[in-house]
Amino acid sequence: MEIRRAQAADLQAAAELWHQRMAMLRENASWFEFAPDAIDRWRSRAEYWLDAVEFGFYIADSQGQIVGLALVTAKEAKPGLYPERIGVLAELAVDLHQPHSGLSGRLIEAAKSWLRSRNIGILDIDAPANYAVEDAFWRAQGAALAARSYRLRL
Amino acid sequence: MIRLALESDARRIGELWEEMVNFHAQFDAATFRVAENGAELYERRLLERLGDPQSRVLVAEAAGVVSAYASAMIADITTEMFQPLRCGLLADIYVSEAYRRRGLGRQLVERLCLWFRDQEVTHFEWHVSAKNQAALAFWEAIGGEPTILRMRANVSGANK
Repeated sequence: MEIRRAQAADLQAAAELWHQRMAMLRENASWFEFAPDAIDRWRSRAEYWLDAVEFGFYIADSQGQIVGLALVTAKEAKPGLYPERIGVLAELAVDLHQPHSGLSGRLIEAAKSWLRSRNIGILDIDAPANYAVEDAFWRAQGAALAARSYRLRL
Repeated sequence: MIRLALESDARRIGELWEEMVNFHAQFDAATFRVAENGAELYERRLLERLGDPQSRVLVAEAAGVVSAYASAMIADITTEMFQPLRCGLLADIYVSEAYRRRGLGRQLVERLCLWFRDQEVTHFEWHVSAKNQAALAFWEAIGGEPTILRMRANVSGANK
């Protein structure tokens, strides 16, 4: 399996992987609704990520099959706090039916490498609440819980 | 008294913000590091918000002293792949240590909820530092559905 920069030919398969993951998350987070053409919109957005210097867009390629993706970017931190810029894992999706052990970890390492090359020392990840497996995964990757987010119906 | 923040409150709110960050730094020094001109940067951002109809900054005044504040805004929290979802976002809320346990935090939240309703949003969201036990207890009492865990990892080898 190869981790490499994404190419235009990867986008349809990557968009479908993204959609599978979001559909799974939506089972426990019904407050968001897909746009009717969500996959097309994602693919269109992803075309921009391919060449944008502010994004690192990586694909896991197993013998020509797209089995994972990661998108990392950097953003300004909250005003008044150090560090001034932090990394954000904007997307991470893997094909859960693939047997590749450590697939997510390799994609995350590519994202970290992208951040290191920009001298950014912090990576923030928004993991869904109430998914113990993901929580455990991120802790195993060396991440620590920094904040909890909530929503309240008015 | 809960009231809208004025430009003349900006310095005091900057002080409260610095107090809030230092309070958080007691239990999470890695995440909460004030920049050299941090309060000034925060005040500048706050002043921009005072004139923004999609933002609201409230203060609690006790005996002529601004003792707490809250900052909130309205935003579409989804990307274009999803149906639009306007939502209230509570960015910051802080009650100075000497003025706690008087219900000021709850009053600020209730006033913001009135504004959120006026803005015709059906939900609001907020983030709580995972190590701030007092804040976690406060928000537990308010209620709300957990949505996201913000995890943070060091990128070893970077200099910053």
